Amino acid sequence: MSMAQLIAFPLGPFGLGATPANDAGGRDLSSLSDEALMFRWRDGELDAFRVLYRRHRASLHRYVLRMTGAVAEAEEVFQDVWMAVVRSRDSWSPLAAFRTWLFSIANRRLADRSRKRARRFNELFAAPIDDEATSLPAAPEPDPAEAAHASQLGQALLAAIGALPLDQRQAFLMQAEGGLTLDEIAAASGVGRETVKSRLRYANQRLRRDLEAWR
Amino acid sequence: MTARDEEDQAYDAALVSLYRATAAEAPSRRLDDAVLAGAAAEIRRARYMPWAALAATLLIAAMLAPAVKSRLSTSYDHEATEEYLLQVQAPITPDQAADPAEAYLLELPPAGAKS
Repeated sequence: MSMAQLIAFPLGPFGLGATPANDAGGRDLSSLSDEALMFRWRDGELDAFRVLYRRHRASLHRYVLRMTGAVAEAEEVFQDVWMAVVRSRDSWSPLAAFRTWLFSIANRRLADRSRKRARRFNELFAAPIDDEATSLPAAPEPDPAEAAHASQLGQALLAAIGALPLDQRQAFLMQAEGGLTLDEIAAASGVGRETVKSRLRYANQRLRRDLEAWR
Repeated sequence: MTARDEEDQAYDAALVSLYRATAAEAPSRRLDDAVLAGAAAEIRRARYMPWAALAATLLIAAMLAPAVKSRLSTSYDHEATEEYLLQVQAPITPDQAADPAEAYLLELPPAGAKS
């Protein structure tokens, strides 16, 4: 039990041990690194988890959405991944960047689901992305004509990403969505750096080819 | 690196930027609530667990207390114990033997004794 838990222990059951949004020095939690927040979460600070969740929720959600191609399934995986983060509070150690760890959990959950369905990984995720996943509006642009063009191109891009083979889509999304480096993608997907490089190269080639008409 | 490669690289970067601008989906409020509720439950579990363990220990101690107390309060009869020990430690004589064979063995001189 950590010092923070020991201090919180006598007050916790009576609801008096709630942690403040800022730390003792008045420092905003949102300025802390993922790893520092994870340490605080390990010590029982719920606000640290909230900040961590807020920071990564959207990118992880979009990642699993594009990997599964279905909103309902993506939501299940998303919740499953975050519950894994919640449950591994005591056992977490900073062996890798938090983002890498988060995406590797997501990849494992996605792989588990595909195994449960007894289908080949590529077959499962090669299914076209459903309308709900692709038809969301683009961010508004000042010029309506430009916005319409960007929106159409954006939708074409999302469709092209959805049509990428799974391994290429995974590498592309981890870079574009999670901002992971080559090494981090390699660690999160369990392959070598060179493999990731070639997957990204093929993904970019294919996207270029699919969007040639827009170029 | 050729001009074409550079152009492709710039285009790839532009596609990533476009992707980031276009992909604007976010988890629903319901999903956010479910995850944060799970985290809060985990913290509550961790906070209550030591108290639950303490309560369980006290309960077991309370249940065992009467038995322990009666055991401790039993008087100890020193004289009876000493008498018993003397009986147990006293050498067995031939007339106490359980059968004739044991009586014969008890009558034999100890090993190494001169007859």
